[in-house]
Amino acid sequence: MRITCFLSSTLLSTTAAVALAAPNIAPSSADRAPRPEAKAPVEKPAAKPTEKPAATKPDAKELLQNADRARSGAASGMTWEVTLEDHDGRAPVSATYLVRSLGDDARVEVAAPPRSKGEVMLFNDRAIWFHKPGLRKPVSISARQRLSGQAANGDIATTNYARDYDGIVTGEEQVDGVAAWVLELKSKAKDTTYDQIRYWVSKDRRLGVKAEYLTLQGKPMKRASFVYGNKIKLGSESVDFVSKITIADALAPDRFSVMTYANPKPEVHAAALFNVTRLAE
Amino acid sequence: MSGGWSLAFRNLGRNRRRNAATAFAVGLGYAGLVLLCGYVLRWERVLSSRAIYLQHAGSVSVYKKGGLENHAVFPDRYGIDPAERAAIGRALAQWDDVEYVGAYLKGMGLIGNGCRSLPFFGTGIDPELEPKLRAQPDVLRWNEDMLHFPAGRGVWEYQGFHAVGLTKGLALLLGKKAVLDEVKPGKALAAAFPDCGKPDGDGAFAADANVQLLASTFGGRFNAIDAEVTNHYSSGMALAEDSGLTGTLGAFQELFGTDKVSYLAVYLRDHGKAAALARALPAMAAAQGVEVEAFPYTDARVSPFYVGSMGFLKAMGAFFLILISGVVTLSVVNSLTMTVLERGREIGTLRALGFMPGRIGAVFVREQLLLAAQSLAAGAGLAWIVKEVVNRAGIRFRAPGFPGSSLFLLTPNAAIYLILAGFILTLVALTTAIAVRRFARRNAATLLSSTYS
Repeated sequence: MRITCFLSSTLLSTTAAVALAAPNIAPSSADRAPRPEAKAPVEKPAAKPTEKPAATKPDAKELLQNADRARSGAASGMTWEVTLEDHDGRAPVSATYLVRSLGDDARVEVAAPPRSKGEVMLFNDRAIWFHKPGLRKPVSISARQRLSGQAANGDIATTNYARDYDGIVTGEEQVDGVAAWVLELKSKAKDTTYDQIRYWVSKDRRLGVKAEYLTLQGKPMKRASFVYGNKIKLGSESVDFVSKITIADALAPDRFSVMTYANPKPEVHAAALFNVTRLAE
Repeated sequence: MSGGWSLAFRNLGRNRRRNAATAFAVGLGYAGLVLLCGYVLRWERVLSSRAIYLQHAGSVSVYKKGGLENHAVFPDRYGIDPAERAAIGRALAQWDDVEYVGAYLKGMGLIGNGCRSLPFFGTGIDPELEPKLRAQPDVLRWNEDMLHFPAGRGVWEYQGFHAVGLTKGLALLLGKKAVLDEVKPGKALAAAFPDCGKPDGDGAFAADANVQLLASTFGGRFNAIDAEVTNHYSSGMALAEDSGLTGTLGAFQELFGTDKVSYLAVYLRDHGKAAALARALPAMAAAQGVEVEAFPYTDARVSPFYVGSMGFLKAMGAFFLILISGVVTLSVVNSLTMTVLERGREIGTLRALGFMPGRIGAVFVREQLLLAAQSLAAGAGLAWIVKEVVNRAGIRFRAPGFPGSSLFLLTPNAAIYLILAGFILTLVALTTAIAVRRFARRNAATLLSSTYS
């Protein structure tokens, strides 16, 4: 466990969150101040309730796909900014990243602070590469190496639940006043970081509002809450999109990270931008 | 020789066969104990010098208070900064026996070859101090095999770039079979990025000694540095052979974005004073304004392999000591019982002449002590011969927990010979005194009428 718990939460979480954010989203509405215990905020009842009667259990895969879309955006290419704040009991540490995505690939570049400018993290499907100016070669980070002391947020924000997990709806709960389906997700891919996830998806907007990332024994390792204050246009459809993710350490709730998404826009990127062999050039 | 001893010496010839059997048991048992203690002593010297100098525990390890358990999880909070190092240095200046003080930064991260990355546990060492530690007499005598790198040279011999050493297992897993000195000069990679689709990177991994180290800094951010593999080495522990990495303190501080260190290792001239220093140092450092905790190298928390291995060896030694003591005791008792039964009339005569049971017992004690002394001399000779034969044979074996094979050596010293001899003689004397005492207290008439002899 100690071997894998070293990766920086900041970069991973930011990268993950960034990779999932959608483009062309109006600036999010004011968000709440982060709380030590990461809890999902109350959902705005903006979208009209959909279709199925609450009593009928929905299809878990469909729920996951819809929820993933609200964190992944358009596959054709997007750009947005993410500001990450790490809170570990001392003064918060902040960083800003520029994210570009294309399909399942994402490129995250540090925009601030200046000392880290030029650092790049590349997401190629499930593989992550890190590079900074001066390195002769990038460094790969496999999924199982991404557990981090304070935010393997890359996984949490980036995770494609519909692709990587089999889910079943096990019940219903209220999350901050919002009715939600409770899903139990089990990994179906060998290289996912978390074997199990407990996921709350709101009934009305079909958005993931809360998640717990579990150990093999079923104990929470991390908790995340999601706010969808943005909207994106996918074709003619206006879709909810994430504006803030708060990720907290289940064992040390005073240690948490907050990722805020801003200025997303659709942008076509060259495939070469996501080629790991070009990183060291 | 006084009259009593002279008599005792002559009496040894009265039951030669029985005395020879007893002497054989005592002598063989003594030789066995000497050799066993020599084996344990050798490993104690190997493991202690390895723990102190090569694994950098020092005679005493100094952490910030709470740092031993927490510095890996909260490195920034429990790291020792330069001002604190200076304060601890001032505290140590009050202790006469300090030879060196080393600063070390421990950390973990990922090491990559351009295609795959593997976790490492690393230590940043002081490049100026390390050669001095490796030249210590104890290290040269007991760990000479650990001083030679299977490939390359120490990281302290290079300047101008980050030099790292990898354990052999880690180097193989990364495909870094060649160290920097072995890479053919001028042979550049065709492309900066190896062909990751091929297991050996299409030859790229072995073509250079270049690696990248990635870690989370003390501030919680990612950082990475380029490094060159300058040596392969053995950690001395099988568990660490696939993940060990050594670099300079400067390289580690750059990687982890800090000027702090994880702990200080204090090297004393006399390691026997380590416990005393460990007890005194917290108060001395507190007077300088730093809260620290100090651990001698014999503490399982800083030298678990040494303490665990020695615990096992000592338990094994104690078991055989008890076993052999039992054999010696029973041999003496058995032989003595036969002797006193046979010499019942002699004892009765001495009693009739006015000899007290104690004086009679002393006669037999002298006899047994002389017998034991001769046995011990023979046993010492036997032990020496066996030791020489074994040590010259160059026998190698695989010790549990150790990488590779180790040389089987027996190194009893004079103290072992003397202490065990004293123990055996004491055991023989006590056994004889107790065994004879009861018999000698019998009525003289009963003894005189004894028909056993």
